[in-house]
Amino acid sequence: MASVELKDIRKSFGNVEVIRDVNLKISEGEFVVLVGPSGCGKSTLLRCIAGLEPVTSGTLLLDGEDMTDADPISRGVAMVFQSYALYPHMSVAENIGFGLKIAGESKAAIKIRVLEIAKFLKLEMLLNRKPKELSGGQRQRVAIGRALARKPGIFLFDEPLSNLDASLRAEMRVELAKLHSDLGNTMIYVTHDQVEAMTLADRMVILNAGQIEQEGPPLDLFNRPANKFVAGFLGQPPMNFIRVNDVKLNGRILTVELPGGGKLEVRGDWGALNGTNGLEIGIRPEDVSVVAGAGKLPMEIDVVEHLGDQTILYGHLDGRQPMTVRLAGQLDYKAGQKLQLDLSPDRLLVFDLEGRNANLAKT
Amino acid sequence: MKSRKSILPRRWPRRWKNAASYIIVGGWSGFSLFFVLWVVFASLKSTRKLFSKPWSIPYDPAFGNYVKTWVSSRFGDYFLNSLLVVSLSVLVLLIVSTPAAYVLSRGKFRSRQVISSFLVFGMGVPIPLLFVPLAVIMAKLGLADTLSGLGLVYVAVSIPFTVFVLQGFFSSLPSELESAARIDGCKDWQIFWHVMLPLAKPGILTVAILNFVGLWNEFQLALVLIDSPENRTLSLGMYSLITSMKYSGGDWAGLFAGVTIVMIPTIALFLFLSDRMISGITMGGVK
Repeated sequence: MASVELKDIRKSFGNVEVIRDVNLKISEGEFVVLVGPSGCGKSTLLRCIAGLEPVTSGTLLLDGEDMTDADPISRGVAMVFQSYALYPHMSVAENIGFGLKIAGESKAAIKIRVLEIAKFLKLEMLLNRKPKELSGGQRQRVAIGRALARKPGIFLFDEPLSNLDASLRAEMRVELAKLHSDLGNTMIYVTHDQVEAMTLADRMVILNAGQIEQEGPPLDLFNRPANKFVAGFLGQPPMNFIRVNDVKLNGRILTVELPGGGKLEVRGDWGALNGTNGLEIGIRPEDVSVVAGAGKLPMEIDVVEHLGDQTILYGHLDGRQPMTVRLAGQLDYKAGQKLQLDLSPDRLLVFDLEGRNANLAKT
Repeated sequence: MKSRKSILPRRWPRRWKNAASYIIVGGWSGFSLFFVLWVVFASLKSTRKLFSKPWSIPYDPAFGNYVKTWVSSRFGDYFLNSLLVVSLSVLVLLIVSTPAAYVLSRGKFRSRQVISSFLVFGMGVPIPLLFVPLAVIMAKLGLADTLSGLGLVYVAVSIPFTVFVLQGFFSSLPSELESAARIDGCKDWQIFWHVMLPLAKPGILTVAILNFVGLWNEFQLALVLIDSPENRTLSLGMYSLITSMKYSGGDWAGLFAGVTIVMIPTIALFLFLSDRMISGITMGGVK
């Protein structure tokens, strides 16, 4: 096990700055997920931690020791790649034992360790097969086996499940969670899939354009996003952002006018609110309800998606602002239908002109 | 992916296009095969029979033509010379070019592009332009009229093409394998030796065969650099056989036996390794 500390890490490729001033502390045995949209720099950051990419500036400490310029082997890291990166010309056993062979271990010791890992990952029957003779899930397990072989302090996962189909992905997610609880190693996991991130992480780090937007336990980030980016990134379908008018602040009560003329009162601690211009209300699609009579927010349906256990309505408000509603069950709504919506006041978020969550201090 | 463009008109129905393709390719193959077979048959006839019945099948093969060419015309020696110089040249060529191609395709250093371009430029230099300088350099090095000198030149002139092809091949191998090997503790040369080299085998085999065939049939450089009869390669042997026929009256059957001897190794190579070679070529190009 090992702890990781990133201090002011920057990484540029030529003139393009991919990682900007990243500071992050990861404790021993923690499962940290780096999550963000494609191109946000999460894989590059992982490769910097692995020692596959040199950092442009900053310091990387492993167990308190400066490892900024150390090669991957002296960092004691193992990595599982998106494409598994199994050596196609080697058998499963050779793939798992390759790191030990390079480290100069005896053949007998390698054999014992490979069998141990194969048993742990249920790969005993596949040891003589080549990677091309394995299914996606089996390949993934071999890649994990190869990472386990040298008993690394830190495991790095670079979108390891993105090449698997949905059901296998769910299965492997559970296996990875079990692996972490069995081994207790420090694990850093990169993904753009928020379901993976939410389910696996002890702590989630949300990256955007090479910077950390917010970090914390998954539900904290979901319920108390620091800004519009985090709020919009977590949750599927994403959070609705509604531009509001005629904002009045009266102590702890913020009164706004919604599109369509409805008035809404939001209670909170607004001391941090920097002006009332350009405010937006954030509400998740599942926190909106359809009401029979006069609601606060009129919406016209554009598209209806029936998912069996839920119905998702995509539509627009007055002023063509997009709006999504997620309702439980199978409901008979049609495109073109007009609805009246109500919003759960305790689930509302308010974002200021700069996109910051204005009611983080909400009571 | 770009679709392959056919040379046949677009409006033709697919069946016609297929038929036309088969006729063109089949005709071409038949034409080549016919002449190869004709040469082999001719090599098994007496010279008199060759002229009286040029299209007949030799039911009573005259293998003496081969013995005569192999022994009297010294094709046995030339064959061994060619085998030695070409095999060793290809071996040395691969030993030099494979690591060079790997470094040029994967290395990160400033002059990489310059060196690559220089090698591409090397492919465009006409060989006859090198005759005089090469002859002078070889003489200065004391390697004139030696098989080792010829082999050295063969290696040198083949490097640009070989590196160029292998470079493309190495570039097509996934870079994640390299990262995985580095995580597994490999140094640069270990990544090359344990991971990249085994994966590049089809490409290496392809360039080995192409170079072997090219050098086996090479004539110009051998003619310029080799004088002594005992150092002649097969192509020079063929040339001397043709020249001698001007004076000795024409042992045509013997000549065709010589041609067959020259052809056998290259045909055998293509026969046994063409599948692997094609997979090597397409793997490098398409990934």
